[in-house]
Amino acid sequence: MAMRQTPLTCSGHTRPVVDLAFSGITPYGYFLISACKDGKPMLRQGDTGDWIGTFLGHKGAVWGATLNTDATKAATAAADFTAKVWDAVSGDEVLSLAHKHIVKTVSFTQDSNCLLTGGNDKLLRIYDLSSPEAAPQEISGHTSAIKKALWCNNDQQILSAADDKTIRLWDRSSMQEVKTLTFDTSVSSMEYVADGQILVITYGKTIAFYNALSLEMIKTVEAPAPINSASLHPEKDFFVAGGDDFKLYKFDYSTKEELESYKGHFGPVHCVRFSPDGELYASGSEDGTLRLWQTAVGKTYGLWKCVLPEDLGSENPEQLYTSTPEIKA
Amino acid sequence: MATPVPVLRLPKGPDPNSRGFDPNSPRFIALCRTSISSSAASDTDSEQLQKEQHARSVLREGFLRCLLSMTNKKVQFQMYENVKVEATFGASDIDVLNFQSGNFLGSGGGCWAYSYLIRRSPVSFSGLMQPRPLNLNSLKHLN
Repeated sequence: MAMRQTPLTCSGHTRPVVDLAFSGITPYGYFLISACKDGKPMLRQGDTGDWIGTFLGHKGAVWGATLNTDATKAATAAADFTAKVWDAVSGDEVLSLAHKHIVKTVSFTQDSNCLLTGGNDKLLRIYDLSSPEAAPQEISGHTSAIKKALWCNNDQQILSAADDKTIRLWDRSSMQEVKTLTFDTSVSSMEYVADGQILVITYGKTIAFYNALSLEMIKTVEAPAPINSASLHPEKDFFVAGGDDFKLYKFDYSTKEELESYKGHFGPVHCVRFSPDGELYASGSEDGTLRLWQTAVGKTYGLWKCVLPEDLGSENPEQLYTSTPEIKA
Repeated sequence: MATPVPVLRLPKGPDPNSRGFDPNSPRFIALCRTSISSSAASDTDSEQLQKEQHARSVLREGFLRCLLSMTNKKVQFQMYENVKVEATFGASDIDVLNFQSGNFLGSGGGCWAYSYLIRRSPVSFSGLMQPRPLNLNSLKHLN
């Protein structure tokens, strides 16, 4: 029996959701943080979308959000010219790092000891979280606002994407630029996959895959519409993308074939991310919602319950909802 | 015709009255537990428990005295889009999420009767009588 995708809608935000990040897999499952223009980033249980808490403190739109691997810390980047570090268990604000302009992106090192920030002042900053009063190290070079910055190559290098249409690779020790990629148009998103050192970049209708160490192109794929974000499955079987036509697309990574597409959001998709186990992907949209989508449609996982023919008619204490794609929490 | 995948329930949404991070969740208890709950009194050192309870009551008293001293003082709420509203402070809840205030005066000179202002709106608030903004958040962690 063919099954149709039932996305799970997570409501709560009151403005567009612009960034999402999953944690690693912890003894308590995995977690998802959402950055929103309403200034109130939220933490959710990753496999169900259940709200856990809201980080209160920012005084402007939150443009970037991230979790450390074990989801004990969160970091956010906001239009109030601060990046904040939070205790992701209690929800308390731990640090507020003042910047000179809107902060757009934050990233923890694997040991959670350092935080990388970037934003409209065109500088990358590295904060030592064990000495937060100390001045951060600063890396200059971009000629326009930085929209994304990530640690790579075991935190020995940094990748940054900016409105100057470049992606730059920097060496952390020397703070020098190692390589630069230049594009004809602004890069809309960048994701780094440590296992395999793959960089996923989107620009225009293109999803491009690069070697993160050499910045050599592996392959490109064209989507039917302008794409704002893409994410590669942990097993590298698939990748998903979302953009201006409100749809989510799933492609086969090897063959580049478009496998599935789903309409569900009521506005452009700003961000899409695979969960760390690859069983689902989350999308954030201009419509103010996050949606969770199954990688394998019909599989029993999280809140999705596959009803087999032999289950029908038997005593089943669980209440099941069969709903149309447009359902809301 | 394909059948939609059934779901057990919908994802739980935010609690409008709380910022969440349930202190009774297994993760919170395992990773954040910094104090002994009174229900475990029999398993803990009674002197330690007494010291902790004394510290809790000092903090509670400090929080309440702070709120009392702010009552009927002039405060200013800074809302989004640079709107500033002056008011007379009444009270706050323990999470400092909701305030009771009255005699609102907007920048245009309009005046409201005594009413209830929910904290979701203000970006920040400060007491006009104070040389710097009050920080109630440092006193709000009481159990």
